[in-house]
Amino acid sequence: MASAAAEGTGRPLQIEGLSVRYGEFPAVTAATVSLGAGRVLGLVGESGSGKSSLALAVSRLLPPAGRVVAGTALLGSVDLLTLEGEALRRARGELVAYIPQDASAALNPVQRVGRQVAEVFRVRHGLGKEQALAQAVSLLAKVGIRNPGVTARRYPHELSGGMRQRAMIAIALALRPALLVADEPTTALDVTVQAEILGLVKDLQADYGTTLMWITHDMGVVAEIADDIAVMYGGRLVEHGAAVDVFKEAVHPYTSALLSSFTSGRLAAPKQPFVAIEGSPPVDTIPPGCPFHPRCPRAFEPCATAVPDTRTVATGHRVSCHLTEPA
Amino acid sequence: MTDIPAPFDWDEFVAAATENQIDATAASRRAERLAFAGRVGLRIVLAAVTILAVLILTFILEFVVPGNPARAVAGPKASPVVIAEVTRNLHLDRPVWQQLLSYIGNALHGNLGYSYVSDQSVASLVGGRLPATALLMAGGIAVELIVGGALGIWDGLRPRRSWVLASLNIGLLSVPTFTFGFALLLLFGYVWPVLPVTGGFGAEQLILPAITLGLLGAPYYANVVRDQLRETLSAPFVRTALAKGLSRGAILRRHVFRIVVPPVLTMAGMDVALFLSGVVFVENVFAWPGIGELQVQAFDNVDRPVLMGTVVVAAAAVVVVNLLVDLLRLVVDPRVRSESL
Repeated sequence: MASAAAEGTGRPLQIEGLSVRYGEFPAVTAATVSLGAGRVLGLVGESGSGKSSLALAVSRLLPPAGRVVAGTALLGSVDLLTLEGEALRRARGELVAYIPQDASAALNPVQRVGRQVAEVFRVRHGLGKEQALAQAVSLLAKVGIRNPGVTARRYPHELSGGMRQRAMIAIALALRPALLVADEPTTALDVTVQAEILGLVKDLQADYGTTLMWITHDMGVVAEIADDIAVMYGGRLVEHGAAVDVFKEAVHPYTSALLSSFTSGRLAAPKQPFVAIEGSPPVDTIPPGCPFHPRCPRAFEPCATAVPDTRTVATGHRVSCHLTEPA
Repeated sequence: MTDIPAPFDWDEFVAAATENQIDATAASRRAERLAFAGRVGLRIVLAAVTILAVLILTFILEFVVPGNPARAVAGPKASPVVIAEVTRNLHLDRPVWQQLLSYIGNALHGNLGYSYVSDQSVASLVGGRLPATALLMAGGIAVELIVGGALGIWDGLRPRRSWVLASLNIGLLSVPTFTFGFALLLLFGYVWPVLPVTGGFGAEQLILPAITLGLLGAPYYANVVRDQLRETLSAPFVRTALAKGLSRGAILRRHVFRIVVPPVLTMAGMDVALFLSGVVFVENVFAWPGIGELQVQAFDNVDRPVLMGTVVVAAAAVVVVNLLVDLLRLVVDPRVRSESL
């Protein structure tokens, strides 16, 4: 099994000017993200920042109400956003796979887990029932399920949250995708299980060489696994760069605020006050100009009217903020 | 494998975990079967208790209702001596509980008594009518499932709800059974005489009553199928199926319809009960020789054993069909198996 690992290796991802709308609401506006083959991107933002819409658009799983109005998403040389019909079906699971936030809803409640994993092999490789199930059982073992044969015969409601998420990971990784999109897969789990799932995906990602996009609002998770970071706010990408650079020298006030609320929360000494970001993120309407300006402690005149250009402040470190404007 | 360091040896772990899985799988299969058999047994016992309760209640009800059956049998001009004789012959002079016990005892042996009017055994009278009623109900349910299912699937798969189904539903729901039955008879029997109107038991005679029974129930099925379909199509597990690279048809076949079917089954089971009261009317309009027609005759003649027999058999049929639906749901929907009953 491991010998085939080289075939499934990741490809570089280049998202260029991606915009997603739900009706008239701009969920994602002109997002540009680049990620090297086999690297891990931590896509960070609060609820409603557009990170999940970006993930679903790239995975080609947007609900009918959402549509991509502009942009490309090149995975290697293939634009994921223009694939249609048979080509799109073949790309699913092989080029791009998706791990959802809520595994219990993402598994069919009336089918045994083994059958749901085996279905990938049945449909995509044309395997027979027995063969596909045998593959599914060994895949379940590979995602760290200790008695895969028994688990394969269980229905989703008979498994724990961690087990269900492992089954979802097995489904996502079954065809060794070039790009794996993980949409907050640990949010619904308790803390110890979160750490296990995080470790599992990290190991399998390294083993397969898959390019990984991990969506989260948890800076701790990002610090744990990400090579690169992309920060989203109000549907726009505000800061994007290598994890080391962003953690060391965050430029955008929103990124700094996120980091200080993280350090004052998780990494704080006892009795140290918790730092929160004032105000709440935009829900119904995105403010004009820089979307963050109503909450920004360093906002000045241009912020409320003009959307800041994205500038490169250091090699591979791009920021969208009026503060970076040359004086 | 490449030289990327792993926290531990996956291959070894996978091999160890896969070993002995065959035994474990067989054991879990045996345990599942045992639990399943337990549930089935419990449901059968409950069904038997229900039938017994119906039998006792119906029997008591007949004694509460005024009127002396002996007088009905002997005729209005019979002398008190004759009536007393008849009363003794029919064991009507014995205490109620003795009559009830002997009725239950006989019923357990398949003997439901004898008709006061024709002296025929009730079991053979009802049994003779049973196939006709069962066929009519099956026809009615088939019409409901086909028409309602097709409309529901058509509307459920559209991006927007259709006004066609909404108005069709309102139209069908506001028509009373008897009007619809007579209208069909008039239309296809006289105006455009393609089907027989004389009644009787046969394929041609079945069409109109089956449509009358089924078409008026179809809107309920259409609504349930449409709502279930819409809800299921937006469920995250359908997105998972899409992400696996399944075609639209495969997603519907493999994932969606299995969720839509159980509530439809439950509805069909309840319809058997509904139809058993509905057939009384439809059978009489179309002169279909089923239990409903027999029941009306028995009522007219104060033929207590036959009336009692039709009620008991109908109740038993409802209980048995709902038992079957329950068992079918147990097979189709595994979540039902973890419910307490």
